[in-house]
Amino acid sequence: MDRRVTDRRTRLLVGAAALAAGALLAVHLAGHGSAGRQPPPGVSAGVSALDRLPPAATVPASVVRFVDTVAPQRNTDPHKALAQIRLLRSDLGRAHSDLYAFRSTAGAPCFILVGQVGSCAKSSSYGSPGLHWTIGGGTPSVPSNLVGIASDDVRSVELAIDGVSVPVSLVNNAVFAEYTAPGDNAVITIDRKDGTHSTVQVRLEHSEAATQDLQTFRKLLLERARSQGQAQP
Amino acid sequence: MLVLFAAAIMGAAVVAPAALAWSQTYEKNVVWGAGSTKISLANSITYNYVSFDNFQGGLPQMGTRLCDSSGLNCNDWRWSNTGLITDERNIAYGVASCKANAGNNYLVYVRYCATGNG
Repeated sequence: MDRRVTDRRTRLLVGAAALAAGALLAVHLAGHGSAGRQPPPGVSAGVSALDRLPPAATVPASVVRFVDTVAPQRNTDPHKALAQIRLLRSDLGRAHSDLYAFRSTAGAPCFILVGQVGSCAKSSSYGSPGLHWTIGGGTPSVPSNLVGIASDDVRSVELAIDGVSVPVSLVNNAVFAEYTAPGDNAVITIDRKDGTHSTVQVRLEHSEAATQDLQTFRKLLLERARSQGQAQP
Repeated sequence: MLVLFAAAIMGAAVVAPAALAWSQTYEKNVVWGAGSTKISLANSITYNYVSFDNFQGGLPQMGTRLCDSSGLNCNDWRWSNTGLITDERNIAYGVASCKANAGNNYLVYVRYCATGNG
């Protein structure tokens, strides 16, 4: 009789212990699994192409000007930045542009797509999780594009302009996509290797901005005309 | 606040690229809501820098673009939320613009918008 009671108590204790262990495991997995985990901020997971690729031997004058201008603003020696700058991509899009990048003292990838755009965040942990991006631009002869630097934990980047998917390439941590049809809204989806993803929405203001800018421009011209009129004797 | 002010002064002091022929800082040290914009004087333009901070959090976006001197013909906005972008397009004679994206949910601190050539 006593032995049966003891066995029953033992089984109950073992069952309770198993349930407790299972609950603890579930909490642990929720904290580290894809569902509940916050992604690393910005591109703090690393941009290995800036270490893996050799420094560029020569760079265009516009790249030198970019480095000389932005590096000091990020507390980075422009001479060291130029010595360590990498050519991450070349011959991109209709403009056949090259993409150069260097790492600032704060670890941020500062990049320039020659003839189109440059960017330099204040730190690697700033910006959208997994991607330092710029989107839009273009000229009558060059389409708009998405260009950016993705961190090592990013598997792919997707882009939709007004709901229409645009192919995006990711090579040497550098992201590029060109889109010819102008749109009003962009959605950038950043897919990480752990299965999680983040999205960024951008109002491109393709159609709505021209009128507003024209109003601003006319207002400025009017103000200048008035101030010049007042300045005359 | 003092630190922010000092940083703003430093930002304005280092904006001008070396050896330039003409430049204009046409906006600096202001707080902008969604949709705010400013344009530069007209000239030959080879760059337009936009520097900004998310001083109230979030990731506000800012843009840059160039228009001809009439203001009627503009190229498309270039947007980013990284805090410092440069428009590397050029125009023989026109104006540069910077703008806080109309979809921003946070105010943005504009350190400067500066354009020029050279």
